[in-house]
Amino acid sequence: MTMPKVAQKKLGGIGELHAARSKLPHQPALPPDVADSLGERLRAFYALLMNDPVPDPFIRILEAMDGTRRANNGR
Amino acid sequence: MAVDLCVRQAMLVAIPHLRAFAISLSGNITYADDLVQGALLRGLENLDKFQPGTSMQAWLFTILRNQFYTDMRRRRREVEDADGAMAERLAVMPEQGARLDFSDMLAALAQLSVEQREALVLVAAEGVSYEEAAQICGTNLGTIKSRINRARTRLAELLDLVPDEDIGPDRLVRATLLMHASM
Repeated sequence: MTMPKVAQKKLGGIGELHAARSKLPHQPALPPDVADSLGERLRAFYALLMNDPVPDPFIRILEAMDGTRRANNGR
Repeated sequence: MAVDLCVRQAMLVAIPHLRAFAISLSGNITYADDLVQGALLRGLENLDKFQPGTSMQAWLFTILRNQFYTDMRRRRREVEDADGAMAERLAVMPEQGARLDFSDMLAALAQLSVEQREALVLVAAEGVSYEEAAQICGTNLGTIKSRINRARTRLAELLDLVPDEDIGPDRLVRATLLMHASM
């Protein structure tokens, strides 16, 4: 969402200020390197949570369901 | 029954995602695990309402998220334990540097509004599309995008990622407004 180069040249400083204002509602107000580093930190944070082993009770809930179905099928 | 095996497999695959989302949302592992268990049980009870061909994970996310909001309304439950003690409760202890980053992120996320937090975590961490995030959060695309933008800006401030000397658009806007006022 960059300003077209021609328009930038024509308008100069004030044009850039207007561009900054007009793109506010849709574009993150963060410089790209900050946005990148924030994205990386978020993904690293989440990866740590995802790597935590799944507690057994959750597996058992699903195994119990499997068992019930199998028992029903056997009838 | 092949369908049931597929369902079970899809639920199994979704569990780590549900946990990560629930912990990010609530800041509390014990409560997050309650949320995940509740979502799995409710999912199993309401399997007839699940539309085959759609994402099981998104469906369970929606169930979990709705339960979280119901709990919040009922108990006015706030995010707890977001001060760093939580990293130590993970089964796999991250090494020192990663642990600090983790605690900082958790504390910073807790400062966001719940609406901003869930939108940001879903899209920027979990990696679902804006459309799917809007569906899970029961809102529209524009709202999700604006919540994420605001969340990113706030989070970058909280984590000190924005350099001080940087002239951000906010300041540019203020400068523009001042120029107009003085004209």
